Amino acid sequence: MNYLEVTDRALHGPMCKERDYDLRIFSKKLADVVKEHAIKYDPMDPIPSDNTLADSVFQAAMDFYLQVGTFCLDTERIIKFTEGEIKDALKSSSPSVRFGEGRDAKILESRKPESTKPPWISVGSVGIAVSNEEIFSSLMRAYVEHVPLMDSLCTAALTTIDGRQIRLGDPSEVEGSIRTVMLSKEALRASGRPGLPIVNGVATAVSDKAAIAGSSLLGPGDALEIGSIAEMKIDFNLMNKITYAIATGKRIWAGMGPILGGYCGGPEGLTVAITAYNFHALLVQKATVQHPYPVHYRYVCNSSRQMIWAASLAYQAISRNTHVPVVGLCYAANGPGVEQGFYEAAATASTNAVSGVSMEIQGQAKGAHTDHLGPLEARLASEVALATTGMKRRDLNEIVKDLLKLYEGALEKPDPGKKYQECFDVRKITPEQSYLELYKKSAKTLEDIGIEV
Amino acid sequence: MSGEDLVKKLREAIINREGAEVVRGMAEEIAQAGIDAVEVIQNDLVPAVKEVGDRFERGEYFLTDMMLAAEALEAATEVLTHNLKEEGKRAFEDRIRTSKKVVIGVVKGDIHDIGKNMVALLLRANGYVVSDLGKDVSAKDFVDEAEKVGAHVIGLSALLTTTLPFQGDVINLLSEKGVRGKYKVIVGGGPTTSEWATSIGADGWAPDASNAVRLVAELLGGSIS
Repeated sequence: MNYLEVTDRALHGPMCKERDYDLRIFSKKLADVVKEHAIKYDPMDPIPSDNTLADSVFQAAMDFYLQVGTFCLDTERIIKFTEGEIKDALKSSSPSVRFGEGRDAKILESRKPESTKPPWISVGSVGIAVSNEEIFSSLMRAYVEHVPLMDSLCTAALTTIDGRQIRLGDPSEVEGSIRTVMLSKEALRASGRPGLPIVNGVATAVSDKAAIAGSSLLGPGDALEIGSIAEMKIDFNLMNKITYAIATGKRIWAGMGPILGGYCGGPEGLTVAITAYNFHALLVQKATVQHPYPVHYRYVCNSSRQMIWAASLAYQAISRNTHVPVVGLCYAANGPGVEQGFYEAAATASTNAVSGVSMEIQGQAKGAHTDHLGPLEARLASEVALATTGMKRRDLNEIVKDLLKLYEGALEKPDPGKKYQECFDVRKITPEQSYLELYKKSAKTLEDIGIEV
Repeated sequence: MSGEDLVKKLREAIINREGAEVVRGMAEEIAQAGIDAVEVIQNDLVPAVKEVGDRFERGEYFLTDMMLAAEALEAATEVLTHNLKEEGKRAFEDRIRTSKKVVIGVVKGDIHDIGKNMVALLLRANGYVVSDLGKDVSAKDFVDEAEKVGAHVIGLSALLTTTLPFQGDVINLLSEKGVRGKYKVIVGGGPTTSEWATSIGADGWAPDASNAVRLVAELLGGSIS
């Protein structure tokens, strides 16, 4: 569908106040479809393996999205699509995309639950804040040099340039956005993987103009990450970025972050919402790759039992019923250098690997603490992802229950851990001994519970 | 149905999220029965919303439940106060005047308001009078509203690293206008921390909605309003 047609619908679709959309359309219809399709959360099965349940979630999501569409904040109108349009978009989407350049080029493919096809492993700081250019460059290199399984880089968000704070809407944001891409490209070159794709190269940019400025420096093998607004909303700022990406042939890494405890309600509503965002991403965000990042409203992670259940089931629903490539974001509440953080990473990475999608690893310390990012948690998660690829869901279910025992109790008051510069030698780009020892100890624990990393 | 039963039914309707229209009808019945509206609001309706807030904290209710309960409270309050006699109206206005007031919003450039909505609702559930300015709010609008309503606390939310500096802008503007000392300023949102709050001269920071309510209570003298 031509994007101006989507814009027309944003301009002329049914009118609705935002609060009515939130409470009486989104929340109400979501609760209705959960009931109609008898979707029930089972805490004893964090990794469900019931195909019928997964297909019910997919059907519920289709019924739901047909009724609620996407809300445009600028016009207070609903962008709606027919079932035929949704099915056409699903049919015409590409199941595989080539990213990167030269020796680092690789194809990201859609997967199925329990697939033996290795997942795409995107690694980095997922847009979390770092304090300055020196930390940024060292951290990006640390990911590349210490996570050999990585297929793409997701960068951090710079908060300062030349010692000045970056502020939305003024020239510092444009300059910060450009510098983010330049520093990332240089980090990739210096680490010997210049063709590795960057999938969120302009993490510093929020405004359309800053994103466009920064993305002009991205290469043909990269992707432009464009988000949406919870729940099921878009605005012209985001639609301008999408229009620019379409016109310049950039691949869109379409972000979507439904919230457990918000308008989605509990885990049942969340699993349907994650799945329904699939249609929104294809039609409104013009996704090349779908990038869900569901989070818990209080724990600000997706490693809790409810979150794992909701994400696993939604990923099974999408991957069983479509061929769109999905890269789910893993997000931990604990920070770098905290043992529980390693197990959170292992739980979410294995969940994605076995539930039929790929992964981006990983958010840490709730994303709230500047510089609290650690490459070794990502390294262990990448190794867990490969070790669990091809595993049966029922087998992973038992392992995840064991993993949950190791960190579940720490989610209420997680430890933000250490800053990158406390975990690594920033100049030499080597891990501190105690951090390395913790990585080894965690890997050993994982082996004891059945994950051979 | 006795007056007591009518009030009990209304209280349960709010807790059970039966919707503003249902609650409005019940409030009409109470008003017609001549029951003291100020007492009903104070002793039954506010505690009902508090119960909804408690259920949210226990993970039994979600944001939508709280927002529906808040709408119901608003509808019932409107009906009951509309029917008040002069003396009752004065008593109600006195209660508003003496309540602790919070101005809250998401700072300029930021449109992520789910967390802010949770905080606003829990504050209302705990008896504070809340002026919710919504999202993408300029520093000037925060300060103007605080001055207008005689706020005790200003709550600033931001979800993006590039909009965090706008929290500091509000504090700077208060200082420039010479009114910083009149208000307690609290900050929150995804990328905020207590260190950030200290660095911009805020009076407090909370990691989530429940702690925001505790923080406001502490800043205003150690007890829930």
